[in-house]
Amino acid sequence: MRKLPVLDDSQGTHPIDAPVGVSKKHESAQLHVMGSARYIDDIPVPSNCMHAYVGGAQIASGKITNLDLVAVQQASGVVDVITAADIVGHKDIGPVFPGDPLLAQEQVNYIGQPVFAVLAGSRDAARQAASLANIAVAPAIPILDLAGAQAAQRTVRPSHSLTKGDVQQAMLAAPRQLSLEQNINGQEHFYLEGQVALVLPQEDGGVLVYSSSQHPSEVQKLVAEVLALPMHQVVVDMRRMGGGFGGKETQAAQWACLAAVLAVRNQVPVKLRLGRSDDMRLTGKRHAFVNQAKVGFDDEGQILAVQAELNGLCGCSPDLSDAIVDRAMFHTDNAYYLPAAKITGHRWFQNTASQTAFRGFGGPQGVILAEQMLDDVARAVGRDPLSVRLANLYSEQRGLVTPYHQTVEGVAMRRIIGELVASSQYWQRRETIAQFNQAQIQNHGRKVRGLALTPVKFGISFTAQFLNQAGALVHVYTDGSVQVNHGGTEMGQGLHTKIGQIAAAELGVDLAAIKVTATRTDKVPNTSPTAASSGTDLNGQATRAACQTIRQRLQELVAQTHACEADQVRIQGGQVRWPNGQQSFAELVQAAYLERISLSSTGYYRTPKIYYDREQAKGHPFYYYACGAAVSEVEVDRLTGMYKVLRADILHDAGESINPALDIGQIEGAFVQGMGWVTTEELVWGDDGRLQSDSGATYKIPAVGDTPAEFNVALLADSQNHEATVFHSKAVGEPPFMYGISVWSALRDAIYQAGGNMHNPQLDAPATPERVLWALQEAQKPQGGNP
Amino acid sequence: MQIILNNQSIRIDEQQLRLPLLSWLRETQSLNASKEGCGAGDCGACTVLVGSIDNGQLRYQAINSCIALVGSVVNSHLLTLEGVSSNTNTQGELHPVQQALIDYHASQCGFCTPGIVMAMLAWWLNTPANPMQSAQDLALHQHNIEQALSGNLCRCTGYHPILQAAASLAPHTMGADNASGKNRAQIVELLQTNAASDQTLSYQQPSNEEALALAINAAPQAKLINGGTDLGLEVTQRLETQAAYIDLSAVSELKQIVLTDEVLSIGGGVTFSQLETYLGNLDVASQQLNQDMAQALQTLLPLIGSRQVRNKGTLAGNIANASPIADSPPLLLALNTQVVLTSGMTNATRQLPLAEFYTGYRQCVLQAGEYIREISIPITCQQVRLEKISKRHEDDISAVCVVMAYSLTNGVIGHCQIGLGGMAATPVLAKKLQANLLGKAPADINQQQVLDWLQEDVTPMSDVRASSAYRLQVCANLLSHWLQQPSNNKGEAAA
Repeated sequence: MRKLPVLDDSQGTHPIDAPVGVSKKHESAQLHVMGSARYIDDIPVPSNCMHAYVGGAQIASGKITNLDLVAVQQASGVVDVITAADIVGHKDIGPVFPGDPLLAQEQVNYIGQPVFAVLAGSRDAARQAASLANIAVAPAIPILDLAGAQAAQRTVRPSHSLTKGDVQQAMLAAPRQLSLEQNINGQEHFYLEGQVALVLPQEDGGVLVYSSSQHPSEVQKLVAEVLALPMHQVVVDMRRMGGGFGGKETQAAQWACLAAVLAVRNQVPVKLRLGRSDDMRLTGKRHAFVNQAKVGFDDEGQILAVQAELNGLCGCSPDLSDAIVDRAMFHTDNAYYLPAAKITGHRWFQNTASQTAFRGFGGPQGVILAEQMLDDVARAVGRDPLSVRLANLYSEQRGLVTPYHQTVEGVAMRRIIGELVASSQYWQRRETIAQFNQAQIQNHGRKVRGLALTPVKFGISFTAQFLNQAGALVHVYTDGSVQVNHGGTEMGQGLHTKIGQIAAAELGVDLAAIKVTATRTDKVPNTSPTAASSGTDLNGQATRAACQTIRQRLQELVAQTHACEADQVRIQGGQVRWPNGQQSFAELVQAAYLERISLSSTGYYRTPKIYYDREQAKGHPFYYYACGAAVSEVEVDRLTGMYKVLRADILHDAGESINPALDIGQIEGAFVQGMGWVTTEELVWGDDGRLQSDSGATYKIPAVGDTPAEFNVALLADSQNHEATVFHSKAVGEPPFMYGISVWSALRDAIYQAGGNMHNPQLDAPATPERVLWALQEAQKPQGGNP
Repeated sequence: MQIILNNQSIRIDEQQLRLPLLSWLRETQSLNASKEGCGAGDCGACTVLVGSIDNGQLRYQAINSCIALVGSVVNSHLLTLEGVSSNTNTQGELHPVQQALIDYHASQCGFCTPGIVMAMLAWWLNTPANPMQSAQDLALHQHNIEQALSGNLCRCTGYHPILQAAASLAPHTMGADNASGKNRAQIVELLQTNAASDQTLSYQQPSNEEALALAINAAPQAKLINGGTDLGLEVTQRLETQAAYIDLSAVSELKQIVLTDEVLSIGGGVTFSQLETYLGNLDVASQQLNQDMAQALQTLLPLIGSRQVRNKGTLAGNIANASPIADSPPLLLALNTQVVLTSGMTNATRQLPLAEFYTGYRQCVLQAGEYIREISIPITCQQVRLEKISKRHEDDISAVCVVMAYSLTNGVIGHCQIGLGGMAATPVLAKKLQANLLGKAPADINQQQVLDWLQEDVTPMSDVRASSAYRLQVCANLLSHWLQQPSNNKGEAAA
């Protein structure tokens, strides 16, 4: 018989420490600071590993008339060059709908779109060779903006509308109306680790794929399809990403597929890692939106009707744009009750890389429209924007039904805003700022300040119902240590830490006994992407289910052995207790092993209650809402338009937080990322369709000094998710991104005050210093503007 | 060629000298802790420390290893995160910088973290033990933390926990410590023994001007490199490596800063950080340096690149590079700076005003083998106003940099020099505007006039950083504001 491990007596004698609800350190924190956390480019490779790179045409739209790759093939170090014709299986890797060729064949749709891939002995040799192609293209006029797409009537998917009530009637009946249009630019993910894949051919024709991907199962499926292999021949391993933010949900697959094709053709390991500028040019970003709205309201600023057109600029293929524009539409109400509404979303074509998922997934582009509506209405009726926001919140009195006919539940917005107004001293500061601004204007000072409070109500669940499922696999070994595997991926958010805490709590062991391993498609199959803020909700429940199965088996064994009921057996902190005895978890596990009881289990979860009838545009697409609010104060220089965020206060409802420190980390990081989206991060394309902001030198994400000097972030106390989520927690990944909108709103407030509260400023996003200066100039014109 | 890499002294082959340091570490030394985030010196994930002897003291500086060539760090102690971790491991404790980052939950995805650790470690090593009792000390301390981290991008945390971690470190425990594993005396000894190492032709790093002249004569086609924070991009972004480099950064005669009653003279090898330290140590009140001038320099320097870039980049390199958006020339132009050029071929030296140095977009008067020996700023009593406009406050490139140096005589403008960056194909003086302002009382000049006159001098471009109209408007706004509200010798910081 196999010898069982000798158990350490000290095991299970630790004080009982509830593993959930505690700010445990990120499971990789020590590896991070020591530099030993391994990312894909750090994995030691066999000495015959080769490097791939891609090349394309420098034309945004047109047909390839001649593809001359002789110079590429002859370049030093090159061993193989492939085009679309060399792909044996599927040539299209569109995640939901076709439209994303692995390599462009006839038509090129954006500058640099990969037309061929080259394999060489070194990465530099491959990069160098990739620049030598001669690709002749008969150019067509590229579509680069909304007007161009509308003129050509080019969409990537049909439009869709949400309708509630008789909006035309309500608009006519409303005492007042206003119209607005906002141009909201996209955003580059700027994950610090760029796109990368490493593919190792296996002995039987299969491949082992390391891909920095939020969606290993999709990478597995697409690699299998392009290789014309059954999925069981492809294993994807994903330990950690150096940031994802949605940019590795669909966008990681192309590089893994190309590396796989080259690896199998040449029977060598192949790595493909994009350089930063190519990563920025060739992969999708957050969608730019042009939002137009007409709002009907009363003299108090209560909104009575909204007609909105949301124009998502989707790039050259559908990718995930259907769901992204849907989510923007679902968030055009944000936290506000709209008695009558018609919200239409369009998905326009552009000759750019196909735009894709990015934290919030369209939500931010809807919420920013809501927030401009509220500010504009408040200024139109001459009330403080906060008062008007409060008057429009979803409530029993006003109404709880959304434009998609889901009834809002469990949103403690009035409480959240009340507590935040108090802790941030909103009203006092409003007064102080008004005085400061008056003094500055009178004395020809340079500075003006602005303050804004914006709420967020964000729907949690994938809007594609089938994605709301998850699996886990839990092994208990005979020394009492535990391995957990689940379908979620770790991109820094601390998912594995939370899953470890959940498993420890459910099995009744210390966190140190749990190891959460790399995400692998051969351990948990058919997983959903780690996206939609759902990582912990879905995989945590699946992990719980697996742990519960094992725990019940163990409890039953104790009950049998010690003549008690299973529910009298308590396992906690690595100790097992029953009415008249106790032993360590590891001793129980060994006993179970000897009794031939399985110590391994899968777990599975699907989110209940959710459905959406897209034909009717009605349903319950979200299991629940995550919510909170932010107050930001900015100081703007009237001579240059430059600004600083002086202070931000955030109160966020994370329900019963599984790990408060990680949740606060998500909130702080998301706020700054959201602030970047609406301030300094400006994507600029040239008239030829070339991305000009294609490096860290030209695309400015927030740096250390941009963090608000005073930054107060708190979790709502004594809160529980009213739905039966994992330990009654709430999702936290995406919702706080939209707190950044408070900075944009505060900038508009500062500009409005600079103009003596006379001229409601138009301020597109990102509100770069230049846009701020122009808005200031407009607001400060002596003739004023519309009062 | 020798380098002390973490705990061991190793030999470097000549063909490795022109490799980017990061590639060399990761690909030839299997040291993977330093990451490539951008390959262009913009993100800091590749930060390593370079220890060298400065006034007999071993000093460590953070640099971006992605854009540094290996040849530029030979004969120094190169400390990577592996070196830090291997040393602290033996005692079972992490370095306090590492532990603080863990304690404050300051890593999420972890990819930027190695660079953050190294940047913070450099700050730690260079912060003298100080009880920080005065509010001024604390404010400076806070400023130094942000400066140390200004070149490290993090996309996950929003920086708040990183700042908290840094702030938690007790200042009195900082300063010299043994992060390297070897004791300092050993390292100093090794560095001194290594210093007289053999020269190679593909990457030469002469230590004095005589050797420099020999090097230039031996390899007249070699590219001169002086910090290389821009030249490094040729290698990593455009994959263009020159056949030979001559590195000016170790030439001792070019490292001098001399202040007299008439001029501030800055050697051609002086880095931005060296100049920052020099000015920081200068007691302005008791010195000859005009207070406005000192303040303008001290305002500008922290806005140039990041700490890592300033540790390597030189003032002369910033000039010689002849970029229209270089940060220092607008100020130097406004201050009537002279540059002294020396030819390594003939040893001939010439001096000319910086205004005559530029000949076109990215072009200047430097001949092959000629280098900037000295940058000489005359000290005059005048008001100096400066502002750099960019989307991001730190580590960004100017959309506009505008500097005005002027003085009033009997209530009218008697002297005026206006330096502009980002407004033309080269950094320029706004000569027509200057002429228009002369003899006028500041109160009589309005913003529209300034804008009109400015347009006689320059027609700026619209590009990824800003539009032409914005560039003009901002310049006009600032210049007219400065004229209306003269400096009280206290620089007004931008918002």
